[in-house]
Amino acid sequence: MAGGKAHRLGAQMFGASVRGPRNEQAGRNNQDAWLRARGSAGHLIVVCDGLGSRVSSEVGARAACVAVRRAVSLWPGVASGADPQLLARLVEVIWRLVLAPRKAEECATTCMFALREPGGHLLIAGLGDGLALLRRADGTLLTRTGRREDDFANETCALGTPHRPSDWWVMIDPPASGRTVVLATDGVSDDLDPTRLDAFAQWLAAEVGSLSGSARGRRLRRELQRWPVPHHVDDKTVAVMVEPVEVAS
Amino acid sequence: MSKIKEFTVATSRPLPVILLADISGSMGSDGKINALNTAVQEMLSAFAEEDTGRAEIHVAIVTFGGSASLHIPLQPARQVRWTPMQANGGTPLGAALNLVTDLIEDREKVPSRAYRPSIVLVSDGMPTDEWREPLARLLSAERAKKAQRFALGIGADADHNVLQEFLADPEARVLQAHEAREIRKFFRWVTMSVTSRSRSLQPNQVANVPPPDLDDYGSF
Repeated sequence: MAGGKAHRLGAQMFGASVRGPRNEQAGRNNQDAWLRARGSAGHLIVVCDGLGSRVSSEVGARAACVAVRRAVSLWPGVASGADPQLLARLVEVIWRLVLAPRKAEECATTCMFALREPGGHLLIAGLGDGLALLRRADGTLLTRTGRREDDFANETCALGTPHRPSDWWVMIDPPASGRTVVLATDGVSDDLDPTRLDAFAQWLAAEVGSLSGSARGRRLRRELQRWPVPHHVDDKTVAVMVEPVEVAS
Repeated sequence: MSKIKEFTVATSRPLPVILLADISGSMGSDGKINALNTAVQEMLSAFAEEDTGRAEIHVAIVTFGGSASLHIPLQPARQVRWTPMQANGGTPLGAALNLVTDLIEDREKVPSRAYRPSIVLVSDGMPTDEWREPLARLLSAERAKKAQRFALGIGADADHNVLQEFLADPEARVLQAHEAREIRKFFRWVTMSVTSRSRSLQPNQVANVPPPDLDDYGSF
């Protein structure tokens, strides 16, 4: 599909975030945050999960969304040959600047984002747990999680915790059309059936994505609020980007 | 009707509890094996009835007596079909530790959505096989080293140095059961500690349940 014109068209972006029972009982706000943005850098979705054990993780998660938006505005694009790890480092620096004078360790948060550049490249990157899912038009499914091999539930590296630059993972997909990107925090991804990820992505793109404007977010929010897994505790956030499918002229 | 139910698993996150039980021949004396069987059965019943938790308690029992074996494979406590343990043979702790490490490091059996496991070691004697390297392996394994650990020595012949090394925490105390009936006290404490974690909003954190009124070996 490379070379098509569909990537020049807009992509649909929607998402939702709900507070989990743990924070409801503790009287705390939702510690997840998400953002969608469109501009000269392309189309962007961001999902961040503030670490519940940190006093200001809610602030940290929101600041990370802002930091990614600012960082991608300085990103020259995949085609420039610039190292995407530089973009990750830029996110970290801007996040700390946005937070100042707060201490970063009090605001620890995971961070995951997907940028669809104007030229059609997809750059997806993340630090910490949660799930990124890329479904191509031909049905190919790529998934990434930042959960380390030795992590159990609710253990993760994050902005504001000790980690190495290489803990950031980056996925790049060449220009195409008809792709779906799903980003989810671990409150969602840990409970997803691994054999149903493709169906999940298709449902988001085809069924939720077919709704009009704000109805997409409302529908998704309703589903997250009625989370069916027994004894779930976490906040839950999903952000989705759906590219149009190229139509032969 | 929730649509998202079609894409999610149907079970709570597991909280694995792995019992390492010494069933060597010496456990057959003074009613120790019977007391251990009773205490473990009570613990399993309590776990099986625990449905208010944030996690589903899963249990595995690794026995070491003559040989090390998986007496009960890791499974939800409510599904365990209990068969009593029989005392027999030597004390191959090293082989049992290797089984535990292999189990916890197996991401199919202990998935990453599980909470940190608990390991409970109960013994009345000295290991009869090489145990230092298997213990070092457990304490340095990526996942197994994160487990919460409990230890109980039964009777005067229990090797408290081995048990203390298993805990690998100078603050943690090896508890001692002088009599068979004290084994139940220990398991009630383990039960309370695990169920407190499962009910907690942060099941990965170790619950602060005071230890039972049992002697500990102290330190000097």
